[in-house]
Amino acid sequence: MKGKDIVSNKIIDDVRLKYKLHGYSSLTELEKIQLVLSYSEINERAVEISNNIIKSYCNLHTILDSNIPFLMKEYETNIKTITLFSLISDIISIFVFSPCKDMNLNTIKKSKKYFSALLRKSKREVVVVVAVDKNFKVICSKILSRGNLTDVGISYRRVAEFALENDAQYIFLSHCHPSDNSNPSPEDINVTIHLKEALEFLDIILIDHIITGKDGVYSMFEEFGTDIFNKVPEYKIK
Amino acid sequence: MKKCSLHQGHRERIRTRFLSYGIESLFNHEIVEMILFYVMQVKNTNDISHRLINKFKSIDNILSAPREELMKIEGVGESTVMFFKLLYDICNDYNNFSSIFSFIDTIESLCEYFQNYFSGNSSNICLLLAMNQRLEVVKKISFTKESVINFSSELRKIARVLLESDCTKIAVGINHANSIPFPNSKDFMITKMFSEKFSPFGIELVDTVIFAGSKVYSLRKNSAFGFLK
Repeated sequence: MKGKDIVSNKIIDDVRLKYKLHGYSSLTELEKIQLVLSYSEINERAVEISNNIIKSYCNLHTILDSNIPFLMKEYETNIKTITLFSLISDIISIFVFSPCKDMNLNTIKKSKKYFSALLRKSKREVVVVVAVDKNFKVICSKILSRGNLTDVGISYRRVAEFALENDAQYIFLSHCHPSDNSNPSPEDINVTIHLKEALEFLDIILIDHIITGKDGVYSMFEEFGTDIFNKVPEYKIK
Repeated sequence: MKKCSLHQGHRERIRTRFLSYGIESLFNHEIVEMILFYVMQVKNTNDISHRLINKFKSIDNILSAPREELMKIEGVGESTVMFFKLLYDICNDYNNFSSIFSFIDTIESLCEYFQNYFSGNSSNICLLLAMNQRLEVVKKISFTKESVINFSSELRKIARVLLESDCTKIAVGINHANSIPFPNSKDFMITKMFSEKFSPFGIELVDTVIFAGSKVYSLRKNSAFGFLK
């Protein structure tokens, strides 16, 4: 066995033992990356790749939030590594969304949390509508379109059909700006106003329009309140 | 050999489907199979994945299940349990670490935030909070004082993360562990560095908070930011 192999094997063995004895929080960011890579690369490559990758990325979270196939190509990893990191990133989405599944969206804070978790993995703009019951518990959600809100054009008819099919009086609209900030464009605001007015006729209330972006989450109700939306006393800030 | 290539073909088909169409294209038991591929090199993972899903019902339940319960499943051994635990730890850590729902609008809430983060932690680490213009935490970056003071590449890495997250304000928490909660020369050096290096990019350092045991010291609250002028 070459010297380099012996050193790499020892590094990985030490990291695994440290994890086993002292837990995940005892590991440095480098060690976390080494540990994950040890499952998809030979030890020598795991150590080499992790040493290179840590020079540009602070921590494992940053790697998991990046464009993984592109990133891994840069570091010449194998397909198993690309798959593993992509899989972990997707499993995180499952974990992040899991506690939100049964959430009552009766506050702006909860709505922001719900839609941020729901749209976390979207690489493109996605428009989604969610129906809630009178207790603000989620009944059903539907992706209306994938693409820019105004380029694709949100169909007010599809929103109405969705709300009526699910017998929902209250609905939320949400979309994401994956590569931009969460502030609404003038078109986003216009669409919201027109949709709200169209749904009023059917006695369906648009509670909020949540936009997620790189910089966080934006609630149109928080910004505009009853200037745009109907007053719904049960929907609170906190 | 033939059995091996059958498994290999099956694994490649699932992996290709995942990489081409995303996790939504897989059934839950197939997601579990993909996880098992990394700890079971040449084995039929299909039966084991079905047993796991039947018992625990969901991916998050499987990963968070206690070791004893997992070991009861036929085909699941120590190495599998350890890998499940690693995935759970990564997810949990990310969930806690990357939460963007902390809203920090006062020195008190900032101090409380760092107090919760550093409580029980005896290592001399620092935490940088990146906030958007609505004062919501959008990113957290942990680092050591020495890495930032001694290596400009560390500061460059942090800058990259901050600029990509569109933040406009940052706050630094420094853990003195069991020492005294007053800033030392290195703390002032870190504060000056972050303030000077990032302000040209519109990123304002709002405070540096020292945490020691149960005590917290805010440089801003104690008017110790004057040295920056």
